[in-house]
Amino acid sequence: MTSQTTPILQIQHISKSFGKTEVIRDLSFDVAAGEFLTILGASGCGKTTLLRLVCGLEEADAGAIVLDGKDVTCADPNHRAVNTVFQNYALFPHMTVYDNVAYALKIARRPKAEIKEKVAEALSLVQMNGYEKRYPSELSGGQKQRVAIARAVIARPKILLLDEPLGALDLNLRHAMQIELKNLQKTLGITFLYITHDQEEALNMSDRVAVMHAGGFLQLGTPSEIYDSPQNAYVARFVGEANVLACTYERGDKESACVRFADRSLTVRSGGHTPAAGEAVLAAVRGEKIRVSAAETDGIPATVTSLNFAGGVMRVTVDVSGTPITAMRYGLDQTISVGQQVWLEIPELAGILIEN
Amino acid sequence: MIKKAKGATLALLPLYLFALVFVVGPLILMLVLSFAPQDGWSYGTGFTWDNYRAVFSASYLNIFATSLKLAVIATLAVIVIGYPFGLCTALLPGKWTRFFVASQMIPYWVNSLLRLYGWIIIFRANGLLDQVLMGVGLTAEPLKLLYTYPAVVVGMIYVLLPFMFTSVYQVAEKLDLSLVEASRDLGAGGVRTFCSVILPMTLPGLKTGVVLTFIPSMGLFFIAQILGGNKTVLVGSLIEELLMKAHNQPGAAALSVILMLMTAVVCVFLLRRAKWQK
Amino acid sequence: MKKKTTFLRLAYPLMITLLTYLPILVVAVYSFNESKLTSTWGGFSLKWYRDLFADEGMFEALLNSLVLALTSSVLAAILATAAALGIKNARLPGKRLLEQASLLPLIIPEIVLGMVFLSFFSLLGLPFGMLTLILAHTAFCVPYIYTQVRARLTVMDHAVVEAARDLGASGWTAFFTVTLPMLAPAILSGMFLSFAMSFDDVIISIFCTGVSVNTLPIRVYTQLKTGVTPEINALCTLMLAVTILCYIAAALLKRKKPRVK
Repeated sequence: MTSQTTPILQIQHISKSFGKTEVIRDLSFDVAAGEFLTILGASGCGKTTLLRLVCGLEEADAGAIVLDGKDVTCADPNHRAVNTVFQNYALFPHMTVYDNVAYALKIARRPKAEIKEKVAEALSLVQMNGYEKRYPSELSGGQKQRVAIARAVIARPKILLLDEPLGALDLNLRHAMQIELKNLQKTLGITFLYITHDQEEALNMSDRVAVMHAGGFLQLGTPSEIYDSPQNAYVARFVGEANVLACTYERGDKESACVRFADRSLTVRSGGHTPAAGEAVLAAVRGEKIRVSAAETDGIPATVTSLNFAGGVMRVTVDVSGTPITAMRYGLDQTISVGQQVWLEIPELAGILIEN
Repeated sequence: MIKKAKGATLALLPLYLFALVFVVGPLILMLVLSFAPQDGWSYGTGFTWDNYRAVFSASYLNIFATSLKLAVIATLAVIVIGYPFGLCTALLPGKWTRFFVASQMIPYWVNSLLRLYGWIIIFRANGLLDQVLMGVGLTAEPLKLLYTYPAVVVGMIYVLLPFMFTSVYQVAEKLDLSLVEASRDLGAGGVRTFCSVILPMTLPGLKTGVVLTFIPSMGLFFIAQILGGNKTVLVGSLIEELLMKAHNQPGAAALSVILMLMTAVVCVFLLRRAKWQK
Repeated sequence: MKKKTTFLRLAYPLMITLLTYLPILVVAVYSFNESKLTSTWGGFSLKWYRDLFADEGMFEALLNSLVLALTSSVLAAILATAAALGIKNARLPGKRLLEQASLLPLIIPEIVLGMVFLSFFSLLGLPFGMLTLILAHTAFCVPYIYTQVRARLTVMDHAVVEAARDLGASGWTAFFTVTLPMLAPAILSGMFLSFAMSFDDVIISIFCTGVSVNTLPIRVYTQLKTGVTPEINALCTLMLAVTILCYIAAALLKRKKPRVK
């Protein structure tokens, strides 16, 4: 995003441990105002802890959290202009939808008329008007989600934190809510810090994605950077299940490189890596970039080990002298069967060199 | 839940101190007293086994035996009556369940002594029961049940039944009926299903009920006094007399220690949890 | 077929319920008996009710019992709720042991409790009366409330309290607007139980009261031992009537308010 304006949130060298386990280690990043930043990671990578540090439910052991120019590292959650949409909604079960949404304003002792107006506005934002008198137990999962969002945005926080908000919804609803959330963010102009383990969600909605693993960021970039140019094997495999091939470096420059894999020469993007000739390197190649052909070509010979047909995509897993490689093919292909000999073609610059 | 250690400590402190002073303190005093020598109307300092020797004298042991027998009889009767009652109630349609639960709770708010007085009217010689029985021609003579052992047993059952009912009901209410169906589906008959599914699942409630019935039953001396005419002397009555009439605190303390040990054994035995109950 | 089994399943509970109410109904009937004797029916009369209302001692005992039950269940509720909230993160030596100790009165026979309180209070030199009664009753009320509140806390979604903090509530505000209302059913049902236990307690009260303070159960107990007037029939009937009215009122109130899970 833009680097001219001052970031709305600055995370500076924060660390957090629970007992002896270090959950976040020396993490720094900035979030620009109005940005949709997603933190993507498997469970246990520390992403929820990071969120709790930002909203003040946990206190960092070291480092600083600066919100809109103010140091809030030690501030209580009620003194931070940050609101959260919790994983399992955390709606107040003893309050109606109206009282849930109005809570933040009631606590701030706003006049009744203003509260009424803002609640109506927030509820219409998530299309939940008419549900004011219901209790959370009388709502469906999707409806609870909408109420939780309305409750969190009503006080117009500087940042909205969302902790896997779509995790408990079924697939169709999740897709619909992704679009709605993105639109909502545009309408409100609020910065979103979004946490998920679902890469599709991350790539779909975000301006930038951070892939988190073992308490740190492995890569922070736009969705296309993350997807097309992973910097390491973890990101390559976690986002979109890329194939990671062990190759030998032959020659190249900062732009492209020639590597050897399975007795064939491949031209790949060098991703900034310029190792010495003959050095062992790793190259990531997306499955959908690999062409599988039943007729003999001068591609890499391989044996089909399994076929999976899922929706419009067929996953072809092949074996290249001990290395399993997955390729995607669109549509059902009757010409390929398990055990068959096939030839793989990897187009120029489809792959990229990654950190060893 | 309070997260910060300071706030949490402050929140716990009042009960912590209260329990220390008014539960642990008195219990330690009881233990100390049970070894103290009786001295006129009070107790002296020093150490003696006399109080325990008295407990294990023939006449006291006799009273323990009587109490234990009555407690066991009452507990068994309460199981036989209360368990099916609680189970039935839980398995009935909702409105009936609510009706029976409420009907067991309501008398709870009416003084138990006043309710026991009803039994006095019924059991009295030539009272209601005798008149009805003789009127129907079942007995020729009045039974004169008041101030007899059976009257005490009835009184015990009457006072203790709600505890068993509530304990069993609370567990049976959460009974997963699909398990019963699964058992029948697997070909088990009614009796098999009861023994292999319903009984094990409701056993925790039954055990709690037994604890809540058995523990007070050794001490409910006022029932023995009112309905038994003090002919049946229980450990409870003995403690009361030692305290209030003989002012023998060490003696009462020693009896209390033994009584507590007996109930502790029952509790430990019954409240051990089976592995599958977490 | 279905109807028949329902009837069979109803027959047994109905019979037990009838037996439960038999002595109370007998007392209720005799409370309107003109004759002082329970063996004869002397015609309908309200004279025992008049006697009851004129009996100042009985009224005072009732008042004492209400004050005692209310004070000790409120005190116990405060102690138990605060402790249940703090127990996990408090730093006090042997806190788990003391937790168990505070639950002990639940499984100690009442007669033993009465005995230890009597000895303990006289050792401390506390004047026997309302103070000692309240202390003793609070001690045996705590477990009823504590167990209920703990059980509720273990199934409660704590994210809800965090949500309140996140939405701008201070610790105390979050407690009063979220934690307390969510614990309220557990606290109230525990208090309900302890109120009833305290209101009906004979044994512990006998040992912990002085000459000056009578509670209702103690007064009834003394009467039963020394000689009964049919006045207590009227008292029993009135208590039953009031309880039933309260239950009906509670049921009507519940119907108005939608159920919260």
